[in-house]
Amino acid sequence: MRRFAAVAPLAVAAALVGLAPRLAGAIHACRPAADRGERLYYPEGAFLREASLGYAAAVADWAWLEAIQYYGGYRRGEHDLRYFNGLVDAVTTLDPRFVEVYRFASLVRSLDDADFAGALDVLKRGIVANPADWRLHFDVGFIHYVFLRDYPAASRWFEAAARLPGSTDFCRRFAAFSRRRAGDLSGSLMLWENLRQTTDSADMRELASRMADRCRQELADRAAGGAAALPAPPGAGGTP
Amino acid sequence: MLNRVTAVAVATFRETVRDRLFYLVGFFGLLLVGAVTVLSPLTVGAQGKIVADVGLGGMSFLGLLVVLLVGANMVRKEMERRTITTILTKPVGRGEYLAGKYAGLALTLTCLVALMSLLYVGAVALTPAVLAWSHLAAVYLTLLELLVLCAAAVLFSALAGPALAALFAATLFAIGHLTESLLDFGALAGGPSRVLAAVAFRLLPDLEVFNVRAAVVHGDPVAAGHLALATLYAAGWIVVFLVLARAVFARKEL
Repeated sequence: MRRFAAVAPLAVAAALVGLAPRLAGAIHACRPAADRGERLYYPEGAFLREASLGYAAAVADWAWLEAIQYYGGYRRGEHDLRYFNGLVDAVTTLDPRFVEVYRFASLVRSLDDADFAGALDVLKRGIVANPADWRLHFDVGFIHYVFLRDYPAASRWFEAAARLPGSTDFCRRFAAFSRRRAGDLSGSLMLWENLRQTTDSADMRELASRMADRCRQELADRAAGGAAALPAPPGAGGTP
Repeated sequence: MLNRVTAVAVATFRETVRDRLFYLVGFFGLLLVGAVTVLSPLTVGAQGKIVADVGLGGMSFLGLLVVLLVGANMVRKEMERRTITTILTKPVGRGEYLAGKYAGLALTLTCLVALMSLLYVGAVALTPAVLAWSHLAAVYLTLLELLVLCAAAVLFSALAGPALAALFAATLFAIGHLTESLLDFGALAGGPSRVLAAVAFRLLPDLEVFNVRAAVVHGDPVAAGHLALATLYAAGWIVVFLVLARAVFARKEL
């Protein structure tokens, strides 16, 4: 009897702990759907920055996890993306140097919203805060190249990315392809030659050499056939 | 005099060890393990940043908790237990007693931060983040901030009861991180608020000088001049708070 008296309260406590999540779930289910859109009330980044009292970077991480979870909810079909931009603004206001956020947000705007102007806007805000980060310049070029098919603009951004510290050969490779697609064969040839002479990668050197030969051949054909005035055919730039 | 201060400091340090304050290091370890194993995979390309932010922020926050829970209660607890009268009947001056109390808690905070930074270095090494000297500079500046707050907590502990002292210390921490914004708010509000903000700006420590956590996580260096001046700034405020604490404590009826 004494043993039962000792164990019974513990068993009741364990049962209550086990029931608590179900009870909480039931309580949440009772709330009206509009009340559950708590992201509508998500504070602005400027307020969060002051309220974080020196822990702005950690709060930015927290808001970033919220943004990813929110995007995950969208991918699972639970809601649309209407508050995503607000979450991204909060993160980038809290930590303007959180480069991954600008990159992810631009991808979401491009792929899920087809809002390319918005994607470029996010990336350019990132560039203002992180002017030396080549990845943001590269991403702007990538959106111009893949989605907007504005090859002259793409090549300018890829070349800008290539000039920044830490950039990889991919920037110059994409710049050369963009120039070619824009019809600027001599510019493309110059970039391929430069890449061939300076790259450390044997594969990249081989590709650059092949593409430089092709450019030379096409330039010669143009000169011979008087086709210089003709625009480059669609897809003539090859595949980066 | 130094022997007497050291004796009080060692006793205070032992007391914090007996209070199992160093269990916080274990909690910090769990926090880092959580950041590495649970949070990191959820982030998109920011694993190193998240672990570094959680580590540096956690170190500062746990240190702040120690200051609020232990520092703010330090003098009052001994007054309530009447152990202070035993100590002060010995040839220990009130100023020496306060200096010893402060030194003991400062030693505890230093040991805590040192142990936590070892765990931090280990956790960051598990991520793609690059561990630079500037991370240790950020840890050092965090320690300086905690030492300033600890001195303020000793002052508040001599002034008021534990709850109020902790509240004052927490408020000082909050205002200390808002001093720049206080000026802006004051300018926006105008009138007496502007004067009040200007007074608060000049009379309270600017704790943001010790906050380089976000910058070092993004790879910024910390200048040697910054460290030297911050050390001087912290030392100045510690002296101010302890001198005020001594003045208050000297008039206290025990």
